[in-house]
Amino acid sequence: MAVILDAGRRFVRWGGVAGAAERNGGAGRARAAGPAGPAEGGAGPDGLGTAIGRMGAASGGGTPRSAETVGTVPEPWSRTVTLLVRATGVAAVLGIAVDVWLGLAVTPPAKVMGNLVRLLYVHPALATVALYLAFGLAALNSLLWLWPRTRRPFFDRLAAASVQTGIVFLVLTIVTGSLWGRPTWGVFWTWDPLLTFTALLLLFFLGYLAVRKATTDPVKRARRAAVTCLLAFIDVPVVHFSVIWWRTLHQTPTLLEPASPKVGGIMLATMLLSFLAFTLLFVWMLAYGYRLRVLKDFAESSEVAAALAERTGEAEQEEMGWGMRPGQIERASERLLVGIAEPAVRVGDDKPVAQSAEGRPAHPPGEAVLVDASRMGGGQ
Amino acid sequence: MVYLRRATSIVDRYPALAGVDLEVDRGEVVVIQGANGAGKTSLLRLVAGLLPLSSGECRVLGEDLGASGGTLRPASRKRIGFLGHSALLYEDLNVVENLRFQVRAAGLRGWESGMCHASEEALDRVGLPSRMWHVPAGRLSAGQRRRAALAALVARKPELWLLDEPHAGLDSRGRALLGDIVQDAAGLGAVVLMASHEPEEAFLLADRVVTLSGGRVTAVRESVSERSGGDSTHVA
Amino acid sequence: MWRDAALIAAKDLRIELRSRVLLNQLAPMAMLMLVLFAFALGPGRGALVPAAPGLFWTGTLFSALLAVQRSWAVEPVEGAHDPLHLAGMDSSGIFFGKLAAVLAELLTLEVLLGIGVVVLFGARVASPAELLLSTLAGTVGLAAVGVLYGALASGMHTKETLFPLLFLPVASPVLVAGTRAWQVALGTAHMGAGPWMTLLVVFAALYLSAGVLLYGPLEGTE
Repeated sequence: MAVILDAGRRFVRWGGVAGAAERNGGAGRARAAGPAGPAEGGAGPDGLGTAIGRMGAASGGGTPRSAETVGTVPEPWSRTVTLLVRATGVAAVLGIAVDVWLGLAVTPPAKVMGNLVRLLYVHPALATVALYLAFGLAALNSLLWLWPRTRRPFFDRLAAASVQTGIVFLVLTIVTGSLWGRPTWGVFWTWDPLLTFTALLLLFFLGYLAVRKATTDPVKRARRAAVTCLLAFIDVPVVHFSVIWWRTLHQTPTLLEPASPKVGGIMLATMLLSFLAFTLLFVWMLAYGYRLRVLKDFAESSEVAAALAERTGEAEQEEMGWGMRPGQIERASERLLVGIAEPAVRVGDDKPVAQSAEGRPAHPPGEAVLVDASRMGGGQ
Repeated sequence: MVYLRRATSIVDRYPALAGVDLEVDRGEVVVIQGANGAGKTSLLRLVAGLLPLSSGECRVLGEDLGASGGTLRPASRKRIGFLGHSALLYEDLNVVENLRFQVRAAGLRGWESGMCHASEEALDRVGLPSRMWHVPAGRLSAGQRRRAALAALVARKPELWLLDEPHAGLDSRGRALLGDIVQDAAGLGAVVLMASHEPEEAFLLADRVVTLSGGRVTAVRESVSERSGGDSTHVA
Repeated sequence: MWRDAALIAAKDLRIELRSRVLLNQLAPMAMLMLVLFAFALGPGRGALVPAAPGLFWTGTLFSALLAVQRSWAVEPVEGAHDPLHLAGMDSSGIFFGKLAAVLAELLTLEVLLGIGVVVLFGARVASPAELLLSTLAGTVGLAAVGVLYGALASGMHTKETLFPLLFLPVASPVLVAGTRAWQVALGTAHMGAGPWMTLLVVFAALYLSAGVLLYGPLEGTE
């Protein structure tokens, strides 16, 4: 119960944040429209487009801001989406609450299995969501990302969120499976085909996340992750048959078959409700996983925007021979992002200055070096 | 041949190139200079199709990098010769085998008959003594490796030469040979893009000297003759 | 494509002939593994003979791991795929070339391992055809999936640890099916080898086609 209460509290808090962002009014809405709308569609897969869109939106709002100060939380969802996600969350929490009540209080214990039968209202639903929904969705989205015509950051984010949420469900599946196994089979772990299959799938998911973690570049990350996901996905049927035959063709299988309890009436209803509730829970978690990735991408793209501004600063610093003054970074970044790059300065035209990055004049031996001393004061 | 307009390349969230404008025609030798980290190597790697084009335009050998999703077609790659910081040689193969592999990979017509000659002529050309030809590349000195890598380019006869610090590790004779080779290539209509820290040798070869700073072109100087005019410049 | 593949395979095999890393280091290690297993499970043949197929395929799996890592380690690295990319190689050509070289190396190792299993463990071959077919199909699958994940990991800083994490779980059906097929072929298990052969062939076919379809997108611009 505490878990549910906590989840509910968190839900309210999330909803609160989303609501506050919407209530921000004009500028807030302009931002909200950003990643969800044209900016996301038009952005290259690298996040730079998003950064540019962000900078544009920020400066369009009145006061020009540097990349560092655009750190206000963007709202990736429109009002409708937020409402839908909230509704899903409410439905999931309610569904699970009702399921808990039905499962613990209303349904009777089974004759053979006793109270253990109540795991039936959790385990199969978790397993179905984790094995089919999560992996299937991840594979589908990976495929859509790899297909050049449908390549959108959306699919990469959704695949990642799907795997991440799937891991939670897979771990719960294995834990509830072991809880079932201890009284039924006498051991926590047995080399049951489905258990083995699930464990291997968990390894696939962990490998996928490891690939994502190990790559910083957004495009490379999306590409490698998508390929990893598909390479693992096509293995699923092979793994499935190999572990099933591995058991059944080799040893007597009936030994480990649990006596399947007869399911009917209120028990069936409870079980079906659990499928619905856990699917809704998955969708809800998936939505927030996706949202998290949008925010992360936003953070990364502002990082890139800041780095771009700094990079331009490097050039400026060398051209002028002085350090950046406050305000210059902003101007430089805006110029770059809006696309009005300064024309290349021709050396010899007006202001020849020799200044290496180390602040030490370096020049070919014998050549005169002209350094305007009055300009050296600023940043050196 | 090579055309860049506001080309930006973001690698691992770092803007290696932040809006480069550059246009190079057939037969031109362009030297790129700039401080460490200015983006010289990144520029060469972008043109070689090894870095993604994040925004802006980049056309190489008539192929639009933006249109092909940032990658060059293999057919275009075969026309490009890249000499990187480290010579791309297989340590366990000897010099001639390394050369033959690269020449065959480039898929030049008629390699079956004439290419063994081409490899050996190229090795002669870069002044690698014939007793080194059958030594595993891993046992060569840094300068010898550089010569061997250069010989691979000579044998492949690319249309676009991308040389990253080609003078590093070469002795004075090697530098002179490199100069000849570059001038010959340009004379035959190839484009040479050379990143260099060596003002003396590089500027003598250059039709144009481009200064990079902070991932952008900050200065362009047209020809060698201006060098004697006493203009100072950004040199690092 | 096939010309590129032949060129790369010939190059990789020539490097192996010159350096003899796999032959002089990996092969003795695989044999050592058999000896260690004998220490652990022996000396009586009662435990060794039934375990022989499993030992063979475990040995092959780990040899494949090292052979694939070596295959990417010999490339002069300046950003992973550069040399082959710069040479303008076709991506399917790279895949099949690397695959052919790894396959040749693995098959050589397997011959040694197989002889070791027969001689050291005293296993008797009941049906050589099934033995050969299952070994071939299993090894093609292992090499294909290995080269794919090797290429995926080769551009990354943590490739040494990431590659086994990706490769071993996905390759595990080969271990299961290969071992069962060998048990049938060695006459230690009484069942049909059909399903296992099918599984091995399907696995190999799946990852060969995955290589053709996904190798190009995987490389992209590195």
